[in-house]
Amino acid sequence: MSGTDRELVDRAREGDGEAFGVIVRRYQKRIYRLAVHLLRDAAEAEDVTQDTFVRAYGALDRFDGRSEPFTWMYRIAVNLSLNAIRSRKAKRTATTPDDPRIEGLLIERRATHADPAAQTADHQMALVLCDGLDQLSETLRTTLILVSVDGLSHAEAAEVLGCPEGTVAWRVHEARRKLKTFMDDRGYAERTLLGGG
Amino acid sequence: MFPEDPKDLELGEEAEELLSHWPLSEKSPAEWDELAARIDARIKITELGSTPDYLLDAPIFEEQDVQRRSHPRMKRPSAGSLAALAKASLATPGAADAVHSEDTEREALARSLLSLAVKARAETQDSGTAQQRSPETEQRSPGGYSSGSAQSSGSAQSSGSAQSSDSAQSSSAVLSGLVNGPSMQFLAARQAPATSAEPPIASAVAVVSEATSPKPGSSLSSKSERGMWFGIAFGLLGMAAAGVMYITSTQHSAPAASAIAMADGATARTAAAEPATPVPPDPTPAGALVNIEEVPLAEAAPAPLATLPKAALPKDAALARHPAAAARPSTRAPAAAAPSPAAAADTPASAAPPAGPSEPGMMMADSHSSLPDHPSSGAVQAAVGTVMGAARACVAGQSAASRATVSFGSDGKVQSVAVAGPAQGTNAEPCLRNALSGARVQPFARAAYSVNLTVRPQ
Repeated sequence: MSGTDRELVDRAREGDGEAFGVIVRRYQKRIYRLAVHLLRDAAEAEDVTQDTFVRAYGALDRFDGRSEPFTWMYRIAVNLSLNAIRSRKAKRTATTPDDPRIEGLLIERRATHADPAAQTADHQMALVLCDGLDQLSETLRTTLILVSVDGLSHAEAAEVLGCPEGTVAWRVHEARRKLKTFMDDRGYAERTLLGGG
Repeated sequence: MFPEDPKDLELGEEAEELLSHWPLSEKSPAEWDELAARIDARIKITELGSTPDYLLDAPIFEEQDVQRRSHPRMKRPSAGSLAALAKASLATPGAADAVHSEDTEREALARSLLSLAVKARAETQDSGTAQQRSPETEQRSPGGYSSGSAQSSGSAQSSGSAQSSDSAQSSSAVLSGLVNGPSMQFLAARQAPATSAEPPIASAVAVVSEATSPKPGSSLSSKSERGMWFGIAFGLLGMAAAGVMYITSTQHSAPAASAIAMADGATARTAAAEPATPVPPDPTPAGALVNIEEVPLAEAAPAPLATLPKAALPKDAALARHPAAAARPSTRAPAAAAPSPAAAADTPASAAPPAGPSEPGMMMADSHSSLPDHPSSGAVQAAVGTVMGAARACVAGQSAASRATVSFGSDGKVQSVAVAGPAQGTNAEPCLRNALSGARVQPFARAAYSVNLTVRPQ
């Protein structure tokens, strides 16, 4: 079954269960990726991914078509992730070894880099980068993840967050400035100026 | 908008690569299918419309929520209330400081001007009383006079004048201070020395100005408050003016009141000097004989004069009140004839010296011309009604009605009673005379007035 997102949504709204299943399989990886970066927990991210599609299906009657279906689902995913973060008993202040972001990086680098020193360096930089992201405020971090990590345009991010594009641009700029300061303070300025390595 | 060049904010090639292509531990296709199947299973039991609205709204982040809680929306004043808006604007520290500084400047200016005026006033009093004056004051006074305001120069011009004119100028200064501003009034009232010759208006202004003046540490915060104070000030001014007018009118009316009392006393003496001889009935006017039966009799009508005990009506006092009673409307004569204790006390017959007819008081009190020619029918009915019950009791048992002719004298008393009919010559005749003699009417001008009564047995 194929079709645009809007066509699939229309068909699902008319009672076609398979049409919505197509949407689930089309966007579940992106939703899961977004949830992992927001939640820093694989299990919670999987739950949020399931909930996102279930909630989206339950709200199909209120989808007015003014936005793209995937940005609409992104908004639901962000809301569910924020709720999950706020419902936690303890805040996570530091990046842990079982962080799915670090785990995925190690798996990927282990396959591409044979040099253990380079792997360690990449691992250290990923840890600092994750710490830097986690030090950002909820607003800046979410916006930066949507734009820089997930690759949404400013317009799409603005649609997800319900704010003007200028606000998204300012948030991305501010998040980058703070993140760079954070990394510079930890000795990554030279590597940045040198272009890495 | 963004001070830094975006190029300067790049995190480096590796970091940027990591951010844009962050590797995650990829699930196998089976795992993704399993996840999708679980989602499909849940969707099948999900109803449309089951999702709450807040999940579809724009996300609210933690700091935004904290910002909203720490900066609550300003409470709006009531709609259409400009006063509330003004108070809200004054509530801001900057506005309050501005108002306070303005009041402080005005008060400082008023203080400086009035200190000059007070100095000039003190020197003027010194020169007026010819007391010893220090050379320093002599040297300083001209400059003080010339550099002062209109108030201070006004006080300077009163140098050597009488105390009353000085006080009047002080009052005018206070009044002008009322116009110029609250702080001016306050200082004028506090620093100007009060004199006993000061008119009440000036002292009232001083009190009001003290009440309306801003106290130290406080300021008139709003226009309505100032309006209230000015309203109170003008109200007190009005009360003071009314008091002055009342005192003035009392002083003018006192001689007139004594003249009236003197006239009453003279009338009393005149009436007392007249012989109380019975006056024969006026035979000529047939209309003077009123048949009481032709008019409905009001037995229940009160007759205050008749019900009053005779002891409470001294003869001289009753006579003395006649002119005053005659000056009132005749229809309410019984009520108007009520004795005035003050007038009776003021006119003791024994203490009054014999007065000749040439005295002006006697001329004023000769008020026979102002009396009614004869008592009104209503007054006669009321007078007869009070005694008719006793009269009918006299003829009880008789079969026919008797007739009686009652003659009233000019003083309102019954002079004579003539009985005709079945009661004549019987024991009922003196009974009727005695009963009908108790009737009283208001004094009248005619020498006598007779009425014919029909007394029917009960």
